[in-house]
Amino acid sequence: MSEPLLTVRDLKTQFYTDRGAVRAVDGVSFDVEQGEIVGLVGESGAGKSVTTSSILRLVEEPGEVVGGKVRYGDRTLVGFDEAAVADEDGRPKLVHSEEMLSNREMREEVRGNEIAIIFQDPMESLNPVYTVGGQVREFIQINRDMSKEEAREEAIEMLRRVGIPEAEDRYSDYPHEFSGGMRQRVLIAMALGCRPNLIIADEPTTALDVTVEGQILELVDDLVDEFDTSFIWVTHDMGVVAEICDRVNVMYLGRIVEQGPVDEIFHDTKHPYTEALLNSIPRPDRTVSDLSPIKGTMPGAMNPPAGCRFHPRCPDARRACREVEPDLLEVGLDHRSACIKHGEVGYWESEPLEHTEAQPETVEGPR
Amino acid sequence: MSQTTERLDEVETGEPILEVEGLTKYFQSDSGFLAGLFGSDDVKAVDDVSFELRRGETLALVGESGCGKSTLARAILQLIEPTAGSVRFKGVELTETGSRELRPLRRDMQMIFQDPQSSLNPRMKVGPIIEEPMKAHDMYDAAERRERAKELLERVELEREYYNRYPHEFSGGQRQRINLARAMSTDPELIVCDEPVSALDVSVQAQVLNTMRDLQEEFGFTYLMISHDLSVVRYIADRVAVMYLGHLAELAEKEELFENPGHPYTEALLGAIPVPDPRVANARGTLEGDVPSPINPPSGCRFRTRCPVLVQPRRADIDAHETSEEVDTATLSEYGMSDAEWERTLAFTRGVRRRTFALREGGLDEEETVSRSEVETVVEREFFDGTRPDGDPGRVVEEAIALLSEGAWGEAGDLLSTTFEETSICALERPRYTIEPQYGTGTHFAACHHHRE
Amino acid sequence: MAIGEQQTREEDGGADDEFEANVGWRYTLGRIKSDTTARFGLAVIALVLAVTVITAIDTHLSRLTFGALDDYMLAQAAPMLDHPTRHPDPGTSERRMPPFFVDGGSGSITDNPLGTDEAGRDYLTRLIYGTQISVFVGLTATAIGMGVGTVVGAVSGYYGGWVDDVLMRFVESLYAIPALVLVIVFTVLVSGNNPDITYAAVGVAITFIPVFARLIRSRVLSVREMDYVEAARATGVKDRDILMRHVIPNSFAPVLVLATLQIGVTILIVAGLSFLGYGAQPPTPDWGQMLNVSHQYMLSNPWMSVWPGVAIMITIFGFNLFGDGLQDALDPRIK
Repeated sequence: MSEPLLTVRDLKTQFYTDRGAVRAVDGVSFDVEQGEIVGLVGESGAGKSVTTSSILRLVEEPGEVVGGKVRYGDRTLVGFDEAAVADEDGRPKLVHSEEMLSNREMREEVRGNEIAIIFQDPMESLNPVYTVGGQVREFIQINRDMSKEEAREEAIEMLRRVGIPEAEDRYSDYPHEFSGGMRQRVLIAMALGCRPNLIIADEPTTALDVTVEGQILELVDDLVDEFDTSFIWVTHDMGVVAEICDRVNVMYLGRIVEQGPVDEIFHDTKHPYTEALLNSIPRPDRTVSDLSPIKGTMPGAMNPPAGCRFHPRCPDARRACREVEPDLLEVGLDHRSACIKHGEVGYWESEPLEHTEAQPETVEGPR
Repeated sequence: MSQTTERLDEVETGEPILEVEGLTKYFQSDSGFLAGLFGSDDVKAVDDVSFELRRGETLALVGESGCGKSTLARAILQLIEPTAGSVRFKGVELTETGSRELRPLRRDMQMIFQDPQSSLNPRMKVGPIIEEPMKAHDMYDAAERRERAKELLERVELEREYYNRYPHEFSGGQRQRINLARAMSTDPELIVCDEPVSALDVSVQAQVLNTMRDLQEEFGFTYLMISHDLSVVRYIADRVAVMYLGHLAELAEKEELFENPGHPYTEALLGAIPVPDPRVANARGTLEGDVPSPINPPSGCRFRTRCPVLVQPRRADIDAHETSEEVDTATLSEYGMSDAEWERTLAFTRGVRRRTFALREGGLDEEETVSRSEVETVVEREFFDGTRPDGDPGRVVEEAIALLSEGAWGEAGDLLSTTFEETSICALERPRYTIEPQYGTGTHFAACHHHRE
Repeated sequence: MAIGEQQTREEDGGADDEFEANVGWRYTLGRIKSDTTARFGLAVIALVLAVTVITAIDTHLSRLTFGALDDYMLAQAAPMLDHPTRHPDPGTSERRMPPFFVDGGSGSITDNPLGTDEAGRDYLTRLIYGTQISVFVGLTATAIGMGVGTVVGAVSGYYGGWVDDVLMRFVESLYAIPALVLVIVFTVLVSGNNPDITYAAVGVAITFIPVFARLIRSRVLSVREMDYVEAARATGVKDRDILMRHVIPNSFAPVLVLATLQIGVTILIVAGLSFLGYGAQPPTPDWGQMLNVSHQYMLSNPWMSVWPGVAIMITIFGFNLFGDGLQDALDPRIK
């Protein structure tokens, strides 16, 4: 396999609050190849959106990317070096590395024309006082260095491409005159119009009705075929993942717990969280008599449980899970799982955990 | 207080507890001070919907946003005043009961809301929130209510100690349980649930659904469940009603509806849900276009403008209905196209109406016209591919192409539409059919003209 | 985006003991305590209120508290208090004496520190007693205006329809009349030739009704759409209870903030009324009335105009700072 389009290594992002630092993204690594759709799944609070905004360096105060590396082609979007001076605790201090792009380079060279982002709420991403067509045109004009006329033609062509009827007439309509599905199409047209190599889609279909979602998924499939665009698809919906993703990263509390090809994630599931998630969702294609929900709720990222972060809710948790922080282990071809079941740190010898006592806050780490 | 409650009949499990007939709700699209002066169009949110709910069952009302399902639920509970129709709850006609007499009846019919954030008063503690319905109906004394509230907290799998906490201290799933406890506090028989789990994370959805199910088994609640999520519906419902643009498209037992859908809209919905299994080959079979405006909804079957299997018009149907557009159709002696011809003609009609294709690569300037043969080529390539209908329909298609070459999209669309769409039985008559179920024994209502004899 | 997710996570953190309540009085007070500006405002208000209470309770007590003043000055300051005095003759004191730090002033901080007024009464004492009127009118006028305005606005917004139309047209007609004119006309109509500060307070309250009514109505319009209000209706709660338990408590925060600001406005209006002669009547000490008198001596003794102005300024400043702090504390978005 050739060099991946995007590599993310050990990415860490923190938010500073009154009550301490929250490690929203805590050591996330994954790759995106040219022309594939990579899923980023997890429940709310798993850190999916923070991961994507960290990649584009869009994290705002009080958040900050504090570690890791993101490379896009031969450019470094995020990078750190160890500084010569250590900080007060004696640990080597991290400073932004030299090859990391400046904010201006990010804005002018990467965002929009190389990597585009589509958000969940299409109404918030479109300015209500400008015409839809004008916004698409302007975006294309800026990012592709076209003349106004060329950009206009391209904009109309893109609007038609994404299935907007009467594209030429509707070019001069305002966002409120479009339905939710149509607005989402406009955003996709806008993103595509700049011919980016990678589109980050942050829950783009969550707010839409199923039939509209179906239309959008269909469209994305066609576009990947036609333009060979790569996608990072952020979602909480396992159905959507199964539908369009090639590879999947399952996130839980700021970490990736399992990553692999979509078929293996669903049919050769290696992490108990993924398994539990799949068992807890109702199926549209067959009648399930009993669902087994995951017990409890996701704890806050402020005080993540020691050891494996999922252990307080994990049906397979054993004593060792409270003590060992699991790394992503190779469990198949290009398939990794962060569960010590697959390692050699004494999971099988350890006693199963009684779940009544396992409250995340009270669990003590190894002493 | 007791007078209206005494009128309530006792209803056995399996007997109808709620009968809805011809329920209709129109909103004024403009309700301002001066709206009356200039007149305003009605938004036909719910239009002549009938069904019944049997005691102890879960009936799901599904449909996409704007289909009128929430309006229907609120009209049933008289939270908004229906425009027409009747709602009988345990034999009492609710639409004719004044709001004062209605209040005591509300004890037996409660509601759960979608948004766990906004459905609990942020300035009230959990205890008083749960006690409020009991207080409103003068049930028990203060100490008993307190005890019952704590018991209810336990019932919905929360802690008694949460009595003194504020709603914001709870997660979405927990808040939805508090909602459930509040709805249960008056020991109701009917609980209307408006998207009770759609705002929750997937793993929490299952927890709440299971609790709702357990409580139903224990207390015999009847649920009217409004949802857009067919997966959830397949898990929790006994019967399912599908709504589209204010009409009931289909109503059947769950297994029958999912395995033997009798309405093309239901089929489209089912086809569109992503299945959480990459090995399930899923033809998304997506629908074209958007839901039309409820201010001026299509005649007949409301789904007809997007229906992939619109019934081909027949001379006999048109004659029987005396359409107003006879000028255009009178020239047609009979349609008689083959299925393939009809399908492509329909696609062409919709393509022109929505202008989904360009007459020439790169678009046209306003003034420019295209030669007729050029349009022929484009149309042939995009739509017909050698299967153009002949006879009368063929002539209409040719006429439309001529109009297109002059750039008259609107006229071409109107011509095609009045000839091929407006004359279909689907546009002339509202469909209502009962079909033979393949699964189970319940009645299967399907509002699609494909089921006519 | 990122922040949004952050908040969701915290909200979904579940029943967490360390989670602070962001509703309720204790929390609001806590937020005010941690806000320096609001704390300062609160301190000023506390001082002003303390002065009011002490002067109102007992003139002897106030004599103990403001020990620097002697009985004579007290008697001069508050002749209407029917206070026994050992110095019946005011005429002996020098009139319009400048403050002690000015040449030709009393020269001593213990003796007429801020000088005397046109009748030779101690200016500081009159200033201190003037607090009573300002605070009394500020509080009553705002309270009445807020009470009536809240009921009118809440009922109007909650019921809508013709109730809304009637009430709002009434409120707008009040709005159309300039405040000062309204108050003067009201005072004259009610009290005839004996203008009294109580009537003025009620008059000011009437001018406040539209402001409060419109504010709370706009809040009620959004609160009544909340699911918990519909839930209460669906469950059979009476309209009155819905208004009192759900709608008003959740619409009230901005009203409270407005009230603190309106107190300052009232003090200004009352000062203006007294200045025009429709407010407090001599010899009652009142800041506005003191200003009224002092403007004649603007050139000979400008200090007479300065002190009441400073007192008005400090008081309004205090209420406004507190109001700002309260606004921040009640606003869930700022954290």
